[in-house]
Formats: sequence, C-alpha cells, structure tokens
Amino acid sequence: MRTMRGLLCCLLLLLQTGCWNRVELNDVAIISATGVDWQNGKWVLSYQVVIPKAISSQSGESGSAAVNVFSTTGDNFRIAISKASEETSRRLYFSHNQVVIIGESAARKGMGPLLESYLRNHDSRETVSMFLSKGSARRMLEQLVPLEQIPGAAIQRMIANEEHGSSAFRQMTANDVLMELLGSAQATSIPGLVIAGEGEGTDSVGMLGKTTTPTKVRLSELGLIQGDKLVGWIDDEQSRGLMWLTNHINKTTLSFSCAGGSKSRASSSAKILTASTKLTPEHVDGKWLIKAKVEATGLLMEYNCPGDLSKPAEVEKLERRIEEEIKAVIAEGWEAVRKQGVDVTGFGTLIHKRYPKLWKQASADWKELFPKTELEVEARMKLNSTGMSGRNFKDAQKKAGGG
Amino acid sequence: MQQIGKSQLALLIILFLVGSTPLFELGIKAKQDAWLAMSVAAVAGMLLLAVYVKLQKRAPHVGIADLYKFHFGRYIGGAFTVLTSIWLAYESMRNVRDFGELTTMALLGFTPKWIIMLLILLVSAYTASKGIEVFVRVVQLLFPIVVISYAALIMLVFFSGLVKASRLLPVMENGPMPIVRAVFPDLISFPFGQTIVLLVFLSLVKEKDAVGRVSYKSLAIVSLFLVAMNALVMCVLGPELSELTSLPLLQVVQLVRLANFLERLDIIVTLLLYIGLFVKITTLYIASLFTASAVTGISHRNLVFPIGVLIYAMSFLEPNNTYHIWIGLDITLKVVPLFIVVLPLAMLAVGIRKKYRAEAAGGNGRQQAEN
Repeated sequence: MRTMRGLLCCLLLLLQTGCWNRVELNDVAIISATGVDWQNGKWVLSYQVVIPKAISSQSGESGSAAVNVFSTTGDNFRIAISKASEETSRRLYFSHNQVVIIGESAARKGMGPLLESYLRNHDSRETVSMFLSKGSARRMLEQLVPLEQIPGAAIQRMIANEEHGSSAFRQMTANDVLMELLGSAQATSIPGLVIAGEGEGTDSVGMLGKTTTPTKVRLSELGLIQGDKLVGWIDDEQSRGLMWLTNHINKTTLSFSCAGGSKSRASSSAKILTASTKLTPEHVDGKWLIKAKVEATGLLMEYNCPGDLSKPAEVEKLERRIEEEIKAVIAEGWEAVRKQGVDVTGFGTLIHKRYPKLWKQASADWKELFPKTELEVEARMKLNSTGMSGRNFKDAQKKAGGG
Repeated sequence: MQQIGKSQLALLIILFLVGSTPLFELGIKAKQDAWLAMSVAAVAGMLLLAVYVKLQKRAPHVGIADLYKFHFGRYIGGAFTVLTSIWLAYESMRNVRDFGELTTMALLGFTPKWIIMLLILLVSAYTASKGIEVFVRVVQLLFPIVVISYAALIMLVFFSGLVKASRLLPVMENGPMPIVRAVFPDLISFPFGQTIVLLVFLSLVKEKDAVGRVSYKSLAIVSLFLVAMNALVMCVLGPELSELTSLPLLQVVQLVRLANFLERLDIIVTLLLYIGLFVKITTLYIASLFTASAVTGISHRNLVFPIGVLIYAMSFLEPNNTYHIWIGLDITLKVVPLFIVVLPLAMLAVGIRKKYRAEAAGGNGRQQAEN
C-alpha cells in the first residue's frame, strides 16, 4: 500500500510539469503588426515579426532592423497563416500583435472574414488597433519609425498619442469595430495611414541614421465603413468635426480667427481641456432632428487679435467666438459624413435607444433617412484661463510706441 | 451522520449557484433585457426555493429520497429517486463536459479532452469520497478566493472605462414577452432551479430552524450578484457581441487594458471557471451519490467509483461542443422542469401519506437505525 502511494505520487508529479501545451519562447515568432491585402482574388497576409536579438539591450546592434516582414497568401485567413510554416522557422504568435493594417483593396472587398477570424480564435485579441492603409498594407509594415524600435508598437503609440492630445482620430480596436458594425447602424470609421513624403519609403536602418527620413508613416483621413466594406474617406479636419460630434474629444487644439467667417486666417488657438457632447434625437414630421449640446473648457494658447483680455466682457466675446468655431468644425464634419451617407455618427443607435418603436420603421430605410437628418448644434465654451499675458504682444508694442 | 453548519450551507449555496454562470450571458434571448430576465428568474427561483423549504419542513431529518417515499409511497417514490439520482449525475457530467470544452476552447487548445475531464473528475471523486463535511470545508476555503477575484475583475473593468450603461437601452424594446420566454423554461432550469439539490443537503444542517432563513438569504445574495454580473457584461459588450461570443466574460476581461501593464487577465477568469465548475461538479456528484445510496442502501463511499465511471463515460456521448450545447438547451431543458417544478409541486399538493407521518415528524429513530 505504502509503495503504491509513493508510486502514485511520483506519477502525479509527471502531470504537474505542465509540458503538454507548452510554448517555448524560442519556438515562436512574435508578431507586432499584421497587414491584410487583397490581391488577384486572394488574401495576402503580411506579418511584422520582432527579431528578439535586435531589440535585446546587450547585443542590440544598430545596423540591422528590429523587425522582419513577410507575407503569405491564401483563400482565407487561417490557411494563409498556416502557410507561414513554409517560410519561417518559428510558429507565428499573435498574442502580442498590436495593430492590424487593412489595405484599401482589402477594405473595399470586405472586412467580414477578418473580423470572423478574430472572434473565432482565442489567440487573436480584440484589443488590437485597426487601421486602413491607402495602398498596400504590406508596404506600411515595412516602414521604420524613428524613436521606436518596433514599428508596430510605434503606430500603436502614435494613435494613443493622437487620441489623447489632438483627437482628430481615435483608436479603433477590433472590439470597437465589431461593436459598431454589429450595432444599429452597422457602420464604423477607421483611421487611415499613409506614407507621407518623397521617395520609396523608409525601410532600412541606414536611412534612420540621418536627421531626416525621406518618408514617414502618418495618420491621415478617416475611412468610413458601411456593412463591412470601405465606402469613402473624410479628411482630417472633417474627422475632427466628427469626433466633436460623437463625443470623442479628449484634448485638442482649436484654432480660430479674430472675426469669424471662412475668409479670415485662423490666427489664434485655444487648448480644449474637456469637451462633452450630448445628443438628443427628435422626430419632426417624418424626418429626424438631432440636437447636439457641446460643452467645453479650455485655455487660451495663442492670441493674435486685438482686444484687452483683462476685461471680462472681452473674454466673454472670445468665448462666443470659440463657440462659433466649434460649431463650424462640427458642421464641416457632419456635412462630409452626410454626403457619404454612412452613419458613423451613432445617430441610428441613439434613435434606437430613445425611440425603439419609431426605429423599427426607420431602420429599414435608414440609409435614405440618414442624409436627410438635420443637426442643430449648441455650444458652450468656458475659458479657464487666458494664459500668463494680458493683451496681444503686437497690440502692446503699438501701445508702448504710441505712448 | 455527517453534519454541516448553517454558514457552511450559505457558502455552499452561493458558490454552487455562482458556479460558471457569470461567464455566460444567460437570458441573451431577451437581448439587452437579459438582466431583467435574470431578475424575473431569480424571483421565480425564490418561489421554488420556498416550495423546497416547505417540503423539507415537513420532514426535517430526511433527504430527497425519503421525501419522495413519504409522498408517493415506496415504489413510485423509489422510481423517482432512481431517476433523480441519474439526472443529478447527468447534470454533473454536463459540467464536466463544459469544463473540457471551455478549457480546450479558450486555454489549452491542443490538450486532449479526456485528460482534462479525467483530472477534474478525479479531484471531484476524491472530494466526494471524503464526504460532505470535507467538501463544505473546501468550499469555505475557496470562497474568499472567488470573492476577491470577482471584486478585482469588476473593479478593473470599471476602471478601464469599458462600462457604458446606455447599452442596456432600450428597455423592453419588444414588450415583456421576450423576457418571459427567456425565463421559462431556460433560466428557471439553469441556474435558479438547481437549488433542488438543497433537498439533499438541507437535512444535514445542524441548525434545523435556521435552514429556511439561511437559504433565502443566500439565494437573494447570489441572485443580486448574478444579475449584476449579467448587466455588467451587457454594459461592456452590448447585446449583439454578447450573443456572438461563447464566453462573454472572457471577452470582457480581454478588453481590460490599464496603465499599459494590467492586461491579459484571462488567468483570473480561468481560476474562477475552475473553482466554479469544481464546486458545481462535486455538489451534483455528491447529491447523486446520496440519493443513490438512499435508494440502494449501499454506503455512499462505495458508490463513488461506479457513479464516477458513469459520469466520465456519459461525458463522451456527445461528439462535439455544438451537440453538447444543443442537447443542453433543446432536450435537457424540456426534462429538467419535471424534477425542479412538477415533482416538488406534486409533493406539495399530495401531502405526506398517513403511514409515514410519524416517521417524518420524528425522523430521528429511523435515521439512527440507518446509520
């Protein structure tokens, strides 16, 4: 009995090692970014694989890139991924994938299969950020980014920085995309990436040795997705207007002109510190009216207009001026979205929640109703501070000269 | 005679009903009103529990087997006891299979199911062989782990700003009917109707007069928790996505990203899944053992092995997960109300037969003779 027990314990020890499903670190290729393209009727998946040796602090030699990019092709996503074993020595490991870049061709073809593969497999995480790329996604993966060793991580940090500091775009995780595409309006928006600058791209470490790189990866334009297909783009300013409208402004800088109107140059700017937008839908004879109420607070950052800011009335005037500017930005974004007829504003969802019965009738032909929807914006701006100086510098100079 | 205390009973009820339930979005048939469906089901579950407690009060010292006998007579009651024992073993097996399916699906993709299920069943069988007293002490040990883990999860989900209460709107979009359809028979059978196993355990509680109070309180606490978790998942994922994913809570937790380092908290969900399913499997296993032992007269320790083998064998009957879920939702759910609603209500209506009345009231004489 005693020996039996001892034997049993030893047998149990064998089970405790947990070697059944082991994943050894040196058997996996850690992927930092994935690209999806559609070429010649097949999906082309590109992977940006991190080379551990190049980023380790001891032997990190400059001169070789920290990542390697390669592609596989297939009729669907998983077969393409499985083909990777034909050209790489390690198993692809997706758990640390930070960004997914979808080429324009693939986005126009439809993102359904990609999202499906995300939902069904547990190794791909829904916290990954999604981007659209004008042109090939693979090309985007090949770009090196100054300051950061791993370009995939750099792009991820770039969107986080943009979201918190400027808010023209927001980070769209796979989960956000899924939720919006499954929501009432089945539409979403994904920020785009372009290679800006002259030349073929920055894809060798040698190019990073100079003080300027010939090209750089930058965020540009917002892609509008209806169903699961890309249907159009709106530019950066329009995208910012949309962010104001959908309450996704964290912090941003708003530039405005002294007099207002589109002709005058926007010579001053204010930093928006908090902003919130409340939308209320109303049903007015067959059409929908959305009332938006924007409240924002901020600081004056740059002021090139006449007027003595030590007088409260003057500051109030300034606040009204900024309110006008906010309305103009929102109107610009709204008109762009309306022209494309893609409900990325969440109006459909809003109506669904507020007027479930009316939505039942509206949802069927929402695509026609949406562009007919009217928007009414009301803005409240509060300047917390006008900064450390009073009147404008030039103004002060003039005063001093005259006196 | 094994005995458990009233606080042990409370913890057992709570952990048993929590089980793996918060991992799933039950009542999703009612879309964003799933939490309302859960609340309605909880109230209905409370009524059922009142019936069970009432039955137990009639004969405070006996388990479900003798309750059947006292109400329906030796033969019909015996037949029901056998059926109940098999059903409890079957429910236990469903959890074993769930354990295998979930583990292979979400965690250990390439480990064979037979070893995963064998391991959890071995642990359960060992616990069951030690008896109910040991088991409730294990439950006492596990309880704080479960509480802390859920508390941590809920806090992290809130802190990452994932919760949007507006996802619960619009309330009752299609009127109350979808809610009612989600409650009966689905939600009432699982999880709330499972309090029927208490008829096996209530007679073992030392403080007989506290039984009703403790059970109601525990059920109320656990119901509140389950409704809150249900609403939380809905607030994060929304109705469409929670319907689409097979493990909504895991999905929620995977979205948690805090301060660039608090992410990938799947391990907490795994822990909760394992504890929840272990408690569920073992409770049903022991309930099945006690019931079978009452009808056959064989001591429960000697039944551990045959019933364990039965559970393990049954868990291979379904070829894949789709079958497993289909059988669970489309077939089992039609049979379960017999055990949790029809039989107890029949007992309530029939009343104890005359010849057993003295035995039911006294109880002690017979119990001691048996042990």
